[in-house]
Amino acid sequence: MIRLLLFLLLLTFSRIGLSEVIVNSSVSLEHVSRQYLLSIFSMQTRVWPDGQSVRVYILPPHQSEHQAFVKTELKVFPYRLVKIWDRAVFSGAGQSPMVVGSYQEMLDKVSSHKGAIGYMSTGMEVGSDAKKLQVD
Amino acid sequence: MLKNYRLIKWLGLFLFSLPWMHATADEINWEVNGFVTQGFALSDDNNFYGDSESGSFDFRELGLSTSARLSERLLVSGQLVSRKAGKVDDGDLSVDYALVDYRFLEQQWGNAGVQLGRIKNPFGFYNSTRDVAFTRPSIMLPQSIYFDRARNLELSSDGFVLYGTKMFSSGRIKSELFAGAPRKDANVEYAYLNADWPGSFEDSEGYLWRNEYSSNDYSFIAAITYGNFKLDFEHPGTPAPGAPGDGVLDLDIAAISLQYNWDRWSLTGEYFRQNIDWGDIGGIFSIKPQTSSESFYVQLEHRLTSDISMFVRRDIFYMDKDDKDGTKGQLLDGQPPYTHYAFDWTVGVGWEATPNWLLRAELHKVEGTAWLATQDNPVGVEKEKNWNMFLLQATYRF
Repeated sequence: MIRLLLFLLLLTFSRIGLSEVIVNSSVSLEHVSRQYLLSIFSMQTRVWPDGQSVRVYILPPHQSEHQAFVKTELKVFPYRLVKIWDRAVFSGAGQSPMVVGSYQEMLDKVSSHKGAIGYMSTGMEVGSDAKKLQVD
Repeated sequence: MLKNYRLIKWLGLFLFSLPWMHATADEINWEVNGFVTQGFALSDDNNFYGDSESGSFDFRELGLSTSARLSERLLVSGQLVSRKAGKVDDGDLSVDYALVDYRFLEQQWGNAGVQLGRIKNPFGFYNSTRDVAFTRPSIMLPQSIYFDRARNLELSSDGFVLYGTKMFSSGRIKSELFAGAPRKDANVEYAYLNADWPGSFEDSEGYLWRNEYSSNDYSFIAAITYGNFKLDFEHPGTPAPGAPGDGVLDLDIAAISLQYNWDRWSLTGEYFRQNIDWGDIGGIFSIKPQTSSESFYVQLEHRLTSDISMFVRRDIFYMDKDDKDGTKGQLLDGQPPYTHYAFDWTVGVGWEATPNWLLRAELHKVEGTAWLATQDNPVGVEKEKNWNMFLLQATYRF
């Protein structure tokens, strides 16, 4: 019985675990390709098409929410993403993403910084300063 | 050294001026990263990373890097590195890179930019971050290709890089074209002239062109690097008999790199050809003024968990691809045949104890001594043909 409850609980959590991409409302794009999204989160894209700086926020890379986002939304193995960041940072070609502690902090940062992008769990409400970005 | 000093001065000036710039710290996104690596080497014969026959702690890497985004499209970055490795590297602080990177094109289908300054040579899979333990698959990179004994030449150069990425439906192609002056030092003399002769490499110029295709999810990566380096050797006065005189050493290099990545496995292979032309340098090099070396390795990595990984690697190096057993080489330089090749079996394990700590151990079973540093093994005939080595390494990053 306890096992069944735990299983149901896990199922619920894994539903909550699904994530969506959010951007600051200053970003003019409404939807992006998965490839472009990966280019942004792998820190290869520096500027939005409208000219403002891209600011990437993530949860701690070792946290399961981050790894789930990388696997399901970016469709790349999380260890590959870390290698791409490290290679850019330690050869001077790029910077690392900014790490936040929670989805709430993520939403705050994305809402308050122009050009910011992040992700949060499905179903969370975004205010007027941020919006959800559709992934094609 | 003088160039180094100037670069450090500029980098220092720049970093100190940051707080006085108009942009707020938040806008310029200033970040600092660093790492400290300590190694241990123990070998039954021959020396690597110091006097490893008696156990050597003479391997240390320290790095401090910083970058700031001065505007939407402009990134400046720099890294200072100190590396102690036996008698090859003395631990002096040097500017590994110091560059400005301007992104003049940025679209959803790709981007393009230019880098100017001291730039990491875009070469193979690992060269641009070879001294950062977290980015290497092992303690020692495959020595046939990423030879530590002439590392400054491979490491970074003063010049510019034009780069661009174009996305396709199946993946992306990144192209980098570098031109400039590669770094050179006494170690480059050891590697290409076998000794530290009177005189030195005064000027250098070269180019590298690297193209990389990666599939959408980076499960397949293929890269081709092609390039040429010219090193101008100058001898004061008339060289003694056998010693090299004024002339230009010409290096043609080509590398093919392939990698397959799965969730728990990675299969990596690289092939490298180097055509060395000693031209009119003369001395003992006039006997055989041209050589082509051949290098390749295959490596299989397995990630047991997200923290623990293991690998096995076979690394092959022929100093002269037309003299694989080294018998002709022996007639030329009087050194035993096995000093002209090296076959290395390596197994290793790595543990990322925390996101900041990485511990590694590896075992090498080697036949041949071709990539051993003369500086750590000064007497050629004392080099043993078959030898084994055990390496340990601890790295902290921040």
